Amino acid sequence: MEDSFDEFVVNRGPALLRFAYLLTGDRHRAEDLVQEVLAKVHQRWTRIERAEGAEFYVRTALVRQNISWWRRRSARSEQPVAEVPDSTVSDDGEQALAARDEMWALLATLPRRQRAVLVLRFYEDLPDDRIAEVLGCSPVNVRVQASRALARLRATVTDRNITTRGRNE
Amino acid sequence: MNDVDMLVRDTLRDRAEVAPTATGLLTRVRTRSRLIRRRRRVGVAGAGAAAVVLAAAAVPAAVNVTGRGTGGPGGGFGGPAASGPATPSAAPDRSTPSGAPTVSVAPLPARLAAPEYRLPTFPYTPGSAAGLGKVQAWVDGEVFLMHAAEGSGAPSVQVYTRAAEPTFDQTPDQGVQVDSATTRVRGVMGTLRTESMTGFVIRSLYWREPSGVWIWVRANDMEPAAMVAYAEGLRPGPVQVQAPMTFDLLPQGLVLDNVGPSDMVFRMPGQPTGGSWENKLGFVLNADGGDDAASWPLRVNGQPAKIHLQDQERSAWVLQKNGTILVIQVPQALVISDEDLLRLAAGVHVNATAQAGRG
Repeated sequence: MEDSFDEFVVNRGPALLRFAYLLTGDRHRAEDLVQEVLAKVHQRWTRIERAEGAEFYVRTALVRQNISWWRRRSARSEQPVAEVPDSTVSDDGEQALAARDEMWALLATLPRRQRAVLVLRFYEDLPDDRIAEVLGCSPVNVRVQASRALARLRATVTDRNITTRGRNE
Repeated sequence: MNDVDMLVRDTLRDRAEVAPTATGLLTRVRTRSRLIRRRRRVGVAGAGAAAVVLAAAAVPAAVNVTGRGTGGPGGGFGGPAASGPATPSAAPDRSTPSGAPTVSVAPLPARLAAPEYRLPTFPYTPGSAAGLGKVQAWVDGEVFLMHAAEGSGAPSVQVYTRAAEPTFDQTPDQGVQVDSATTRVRGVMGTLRTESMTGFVIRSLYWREPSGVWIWVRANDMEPAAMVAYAEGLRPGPVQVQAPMTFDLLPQGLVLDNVGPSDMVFRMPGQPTGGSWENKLGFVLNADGGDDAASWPLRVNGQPAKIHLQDQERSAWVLQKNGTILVIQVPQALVISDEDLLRLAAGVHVNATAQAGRG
């Protein structure tokens, strides 16, 4: 049991940290989240290992824990709007980079659940029914969350002309 | 996929490349697992209980996980009571649930001297405990009785005393069903509260003794009739907390806060009491972690040792002669030199009754 858990953490830890970083947008919180979830998983590893899809299980726990932490830490449903950096760059490469920086800042303004939907859809490439499993909701709800998140992002990036610059790679 | 979709995708993929590295992740996870197990065994009330339930709710139900969080009451022990027998208390829960903001603690220069704490006792002794793990009195900010399951399949049972009726978080987490009923116990009417989650059940049975003291029995996977039978068997009489280790030296001013079979934890002055070990001086006996002890650069009482620094957290590790590892977790606010930390470590004596923890 111990060996297989250690192997799991060593082999999958980096990917889980990447995932957690995208969920949280904060390196320290990402580490904290992964450690907390893996430590809890460790307590039940025998059962989890027996079930199929231990990594999916852990990723689901990361998403839910992240949302739960947020619920408990703040009565607000979302973060304050982040300071989106002004773009003063000149060439296309720098503009693309700046566009992603701005998008990263905008992602931080989304409610956790909406952000999770985007990470699962665009980074993990999960279909909506699988995202629904992770979040414990219906696929319809996933689409609603995604739609709202993208609409919100779209409204901002259109104002700031971010996507045009982002395409210039 | 439109422009915004693509920008989101590209942004996420770019950012994933600068995520934190996994260096030392396994060690940190194992240490944290150990702390969580400790928190879980003893639990905390109010927000703490909710945090434990949350922990169970935060994991997917697909594998039918039994979260075995105990979530018992907290508060009541500490301050002057930390060095004397515990008494029932209606003190509000002061423990910190996992993930909650940490409490700022003023730096304290460590002055090592002979320890002054005294181990408390729990005021009730179990009668028949058939089918349960061996009873022990533990301290988790307060003293309580513990029948640990430890993987035996037996129910995990805790008993607490209170000066006031136990209170619970009024907002159960998603997926948690809470039911409450009255039942006769020890000649009075008590309350049986049941929290049902996927795969497991946590029950609390509490009542007021004729003396005015409230007693709270909390158990995982134990039927109501068995809980009542256990409660009927409780008799006045002290159960002494057994310390897993003794100390020649300790930093002065710290207060005994947690005692279990494998650990003793002291909190800084002004710091809240409870099951969390954050920012506390912890002495933990681990069953593993010493595979590379031959390469540790220091010696404590002739045994391999090392001082480990990670993410601003310092700990001293000493290989014991039986292969277990004594780990001293140093809170950031405790100002102590490496030299004094090793002096502190040299004065720790692990008792024969200590049980090294795992994970």
